[in-house]
Amino acid sequence: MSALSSVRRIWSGRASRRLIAWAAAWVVIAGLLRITLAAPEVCPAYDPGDGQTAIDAGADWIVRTQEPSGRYLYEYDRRTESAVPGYNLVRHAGGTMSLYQLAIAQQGQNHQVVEAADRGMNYLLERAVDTGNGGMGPALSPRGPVKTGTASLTLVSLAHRRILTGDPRYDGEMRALGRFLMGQQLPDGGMLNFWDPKTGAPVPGERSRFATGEAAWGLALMHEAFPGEGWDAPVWAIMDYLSTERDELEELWPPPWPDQWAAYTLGEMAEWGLEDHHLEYAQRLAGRFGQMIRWDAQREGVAELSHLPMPRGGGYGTILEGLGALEWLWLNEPRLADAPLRDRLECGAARLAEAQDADGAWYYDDLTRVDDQQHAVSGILLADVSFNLGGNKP
Amino acid sequence: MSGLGPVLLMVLAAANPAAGALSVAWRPSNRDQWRPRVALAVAAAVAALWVIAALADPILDGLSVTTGTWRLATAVPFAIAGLRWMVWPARPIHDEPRAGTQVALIALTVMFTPQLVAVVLATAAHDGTLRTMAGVVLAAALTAALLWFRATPTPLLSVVARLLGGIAVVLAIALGVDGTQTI
Repeated sequence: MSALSSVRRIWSGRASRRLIAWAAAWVVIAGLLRITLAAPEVCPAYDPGDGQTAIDAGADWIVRTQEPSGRYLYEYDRRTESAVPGYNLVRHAGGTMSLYQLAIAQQGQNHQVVEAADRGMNYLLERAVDTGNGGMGPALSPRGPVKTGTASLTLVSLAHRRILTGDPRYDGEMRALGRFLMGQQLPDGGMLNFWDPKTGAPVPGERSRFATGEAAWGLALMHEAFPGEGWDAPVWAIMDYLSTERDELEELWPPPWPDQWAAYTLGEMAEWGLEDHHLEYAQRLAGRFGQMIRWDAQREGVAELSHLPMPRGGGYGTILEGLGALEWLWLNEPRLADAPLRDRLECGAARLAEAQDADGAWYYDDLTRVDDQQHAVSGILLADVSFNLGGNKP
Repeated sequence: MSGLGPVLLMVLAAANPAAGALSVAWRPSNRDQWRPRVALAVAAAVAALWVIAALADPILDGLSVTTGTWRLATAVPFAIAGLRWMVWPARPIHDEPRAGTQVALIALTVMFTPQLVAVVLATAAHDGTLRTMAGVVLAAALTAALLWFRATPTPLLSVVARLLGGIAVVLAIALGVDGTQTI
């Protein structure tokens, strides 16, 4: 019997087919996983200060395209080199907030940023309407509804301006905005989205996944600015709502909804004595943000086929904002176990900075909106701030 | 980090000794040769899995994959294996291989499966190497015992294999969810 026939005799039959199937299963499973769920996570190198160029360029885009009235260039199409019609006052307030954040981090040394933020704030305050009971909120048109999100981010911006300047000039406006927000709150802690000038009352039944966290952050900053005035009570109610029932009630899936506004609030509440269910929520939020960064980092090479395109600058920036705000909580809360928030922040900031266009904007399908720059600048700022300020929050 | 119990159960479900014993359905003609071969093959698999468990962190670093991502990825082959065991516990081989090499390699296919290797990596990186090694020893000992004595009735093995398959599906889902919630 030849050696070949001997081998054939040994490697024939059911047992051999088992071995071949086993080897094939290994190759197929390993190969498929490697280009999908187990694709390599690619994080460009990121050193302290690396984000500064992207932050400055992004902020410069907002500043140089702003009108003298304080109105920002809302949306721009680079194919036609023209502005896209439309405006959103919540995003205007968000852009203003982002400029004040940057101004605090820069200790007010970039006057262009401070002046642009002040112009943006004036645009908001000029549109503020009396909502009764000592409250006020900005509306895009005199007869239009007041959105809770606009009032919230206007309040956040004014609180940041106060931190930056120490100027109490707008304390009255801050309290009026706070009173408006308290009037929008539901018994379960959630926030209604609109106030209707025709009825002079909140619009019942309409919540917003954004407004509740935005209001929480604004009111938390009110408590920080004016402790003892009772602004913390609605914040606790909101945080209980966000931590325990929001996702189910508002049918947000998968939970937790990646709410960077809630993360900002948790960061502000780091020294308030959060309860265990708030910390458990913070951990779930951080996990959600961390997973989003990990998933995006896999979008390289062949794995691009199995991963959706990178989110727009605004979307990606919110992930970094959330992680950066939560990092502050982690730094101040000994009950939270060590977690690689910094690794994810560095990875995300490096990837987001790489996606920036030469003109300072983040484009998606050749379009960019002011909130793309807003969230990207804030996100990279929060990722960078631990390096540059030794952990001091902006 | 999970306790020892969940890790043992995870590795045991990924190994599924009952399904392994079902797949080797032949009656060994020479038990004096059979038992050393089984022992050798299982020991080799344990050694290989221990090395993987001990090197889990450098292996994942080499793959540029974080622990959370690997746990999410592991859920897929683990769940598929579990579903297959629930529906079809084993593909039994009734004819005894003539060569000792083949016996050892078939034992290897029973003990060194993609889902088991993936689970060993996932638990070692997340829950600790020693706990994972203990799980490997438990799974290997049960597999070796079932193959060594060949006394367990097939219907009982089938029920146990399906049960472990169901547990594998549940644990795979938990692993995947944990992978999505890991920072």
